[in-house]
Amino acid sequence: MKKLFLLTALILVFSQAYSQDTLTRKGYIGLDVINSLPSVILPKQYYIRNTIIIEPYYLLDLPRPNRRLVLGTGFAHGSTHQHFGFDPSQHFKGAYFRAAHEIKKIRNPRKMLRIGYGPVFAIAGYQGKFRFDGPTFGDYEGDFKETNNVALGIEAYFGQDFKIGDNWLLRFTVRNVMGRRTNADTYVQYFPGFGFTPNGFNNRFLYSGGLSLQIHYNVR
Amino acid sequence: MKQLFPIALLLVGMIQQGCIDCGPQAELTARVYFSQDSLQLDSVYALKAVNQNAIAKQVKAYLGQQSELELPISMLADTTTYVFYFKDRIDTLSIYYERVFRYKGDCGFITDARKPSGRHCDATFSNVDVYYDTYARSGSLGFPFANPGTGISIQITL
Repeated sequence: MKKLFLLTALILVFSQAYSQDTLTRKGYIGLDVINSLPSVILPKQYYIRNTIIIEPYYLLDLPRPNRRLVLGTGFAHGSTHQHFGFDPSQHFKGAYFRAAHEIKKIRNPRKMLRIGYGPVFAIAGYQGKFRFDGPTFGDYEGDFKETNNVALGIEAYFGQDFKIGDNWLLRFTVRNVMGRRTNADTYVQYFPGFGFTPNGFNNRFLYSGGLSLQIHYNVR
Repeated sequence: MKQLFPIALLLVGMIQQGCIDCGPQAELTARVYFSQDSLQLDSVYALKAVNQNAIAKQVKAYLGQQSELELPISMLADTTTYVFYFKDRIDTLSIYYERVFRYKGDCGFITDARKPSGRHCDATFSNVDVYYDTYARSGSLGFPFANPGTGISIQITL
């Protein structure tokens, strides 16, 4: 939780620094609205269960036209699926920070696509219990735990903004993120800030992709 | 040709998946061979076992056609002791190993046993040789010459 506050403070500092600019450039504060929803509604089907993900965003137009700065932070706490006793559920907790430089590509006034890229920094910990059936000598149960797992990555995405009224913005992004983490004793199923990592991309090298739907409010 | 590329990629992926050695991911077994069974084995019991069924099954198979006994080893200790009942003789065998539980990609946690730093066995047989091999070979096994880990084998001379 402490890390989350620190990251939020960092974002506030950033936004203060940028707020000196002219009033013609817009700024939005937003929140990811679908990230944790499926894990609560469909805990059995979705790849994570009962997970809290809070992802606030800050969007700010840059002085150059069609350029935008995107700052995001996040906190995730939950667990993954239990597949087998030896492929157990992983309880994870982590905080992350992302920044992106976003470019608006205009082909015609109706077709607008936003492309963004930037760094992702995440710190997470996870733990769980694994179990092997022992019909002859009794079952074996072991623990695994990794704390302060730091990951650095690069994210790239396509995005689309939909204006709702004067002040609201619905934002949809398709994202790709890859990076490396410091400690990799146990393969990770979900890395906060990166997302679900498929087999082969879940050891020291992490790769993930996904969708994000955010709702934003105009603040300047 | 271009359309075939994703299919080819998928096939390569499937072959790769099929050749990762996860080991048994269950209670491990040691294979026991007797150099000659002139004494006629009657039954085998493991100490500290909660259920002897798996061992009884193996003895039955051994008395039938099977050339070796596959005896479960304990995941709860680095040693397992067996008592062998022959027609007019009783022998004991303790084997030692070092348990390994680790995470392996595409498998989840795997269980393995390796050569201990100390002695390999204690036995009342005239000679016992214990051979150690991993139960789960590391990395991909490489199609098509898959060579999975064979685990612990024990050669007993009565």
